[in-house]
Amino acid sequence: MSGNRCAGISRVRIRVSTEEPERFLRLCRMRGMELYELRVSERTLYLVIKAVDFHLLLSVRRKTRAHIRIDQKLGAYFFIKRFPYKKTLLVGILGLMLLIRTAYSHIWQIHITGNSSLSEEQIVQFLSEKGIRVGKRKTKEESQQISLWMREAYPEISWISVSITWDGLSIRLKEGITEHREKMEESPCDLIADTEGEIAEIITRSGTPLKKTGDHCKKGEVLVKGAYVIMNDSQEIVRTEYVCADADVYIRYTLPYSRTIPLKFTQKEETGRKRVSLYLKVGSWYLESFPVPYGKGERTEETSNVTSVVKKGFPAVFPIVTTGIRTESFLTERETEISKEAGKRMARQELESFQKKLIEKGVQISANNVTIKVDDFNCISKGTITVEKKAERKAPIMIQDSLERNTQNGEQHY
Amino acid sequence: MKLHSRKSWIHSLEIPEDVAYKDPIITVTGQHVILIENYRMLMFFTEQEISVKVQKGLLRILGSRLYINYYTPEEMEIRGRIQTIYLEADPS
Repeated sequence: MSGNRCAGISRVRIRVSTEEPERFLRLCRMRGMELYELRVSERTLYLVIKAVDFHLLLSVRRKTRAHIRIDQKLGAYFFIKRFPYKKTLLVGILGLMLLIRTAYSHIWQIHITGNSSLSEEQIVQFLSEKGIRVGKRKTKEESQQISLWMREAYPEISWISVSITWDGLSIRLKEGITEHREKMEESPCDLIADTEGEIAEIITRSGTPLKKTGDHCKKGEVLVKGAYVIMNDSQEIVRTEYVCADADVYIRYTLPYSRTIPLKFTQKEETGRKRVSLYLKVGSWYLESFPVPYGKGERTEETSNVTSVVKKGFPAVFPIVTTGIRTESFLTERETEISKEAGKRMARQELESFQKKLIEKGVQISANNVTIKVDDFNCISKGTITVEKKAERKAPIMIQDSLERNTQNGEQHY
Repeated sequence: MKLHSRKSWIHSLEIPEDVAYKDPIITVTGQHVILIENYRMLMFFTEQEISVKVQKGLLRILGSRLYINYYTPEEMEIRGRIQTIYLEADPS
């Protein structure tokens, strides 16, 4: 309890030998002194007083004929007084304060929460392009500017809050269907081809189809027009109704595929020789305990960053300062030869992974015309892959222009 | 009559009685802590007994291993193994 009441204050632990301990305490109280941890034992008082109150004891001592002895000096003042290198300590404290001040006034971390379709890297990259990066000075104006930039660049952000935290920036955002996208869907638009190819299938829900199954289309060509032309009995255009074109259009096209796997190649192998060294990195400055001279064969490095462990326990005030352990393994080159069967297997695996990547991109594979041939030196995979891709690109229609064109031509052809 | 008028005056002004009459406030927490506010002076201090003069009386605390955790002009906190607390009122 007393520890809490006088914590941080320079104080002295004293012992007072007197015949009148109660009178001594009464006199102390009259002088407005605060006493802590008061114990008595055979006319001797043990107590703690503030260092600044010590001189008030002189008159009390005289009146009560007490004998005062200092047992212990506590607090920062006495610690600094005892410290032999006072100037160095002062410079160190000032340096630390300056460092903390610098650390607090710069961006060291950018916390992003609430993002789902936008990746953290994407946002960080965008901010970096705008000049907001780790190590930059924090300003209130920029945090307001960031929210404006983000809203402009990413219309899918429905709500954003940028705040300055002690270690950097905190960006909280919410994504949703934007007004812009809704408007885009409601406003008249054409469905256009993303790629060149043949129309495999077309199912139109709204709009006028300009292509049919089997037709060839070029990239950027209109597939479904977002307009209905209303004609009268004399086949004259009465008016044009504009809609947003909606259709399932699949475009079939072929992709060339060619890979060569050599049956003889050079492989790098670890020699077994390893070297472990400690390192300290501050920005671009690098210090290593046992630096290995470069040029003595090739080597690989495994770096374990100790700072990530530190970050868990302590706030990352200085993330630019990293420490860690680096393990270096030395490598040698070895000539390796694989069998024709193994080469074929590798080629098939490579083709499968290529097809898997295509499927992940939302493309359907309709035919695979890749052949794998093996000669004495290489395993060659060559051919084409036929794929089908759904056309999803939409382009808004400028109604004014269309009307002008209609009036100029007198007739419109789709 | 004089006392009655003073009491009614304090009551009408809603002044707390401890402030108006300088009555002591004694807060006992368990068997080990006792906080005394508005005390007048420390009369006797040993490990077994602490006597404190309060307005119109004497507060005696008996126990073992008693010590004063803090002692300021306004309040004091006594700690230790408290066994008995007496409040002896002045005969007047």
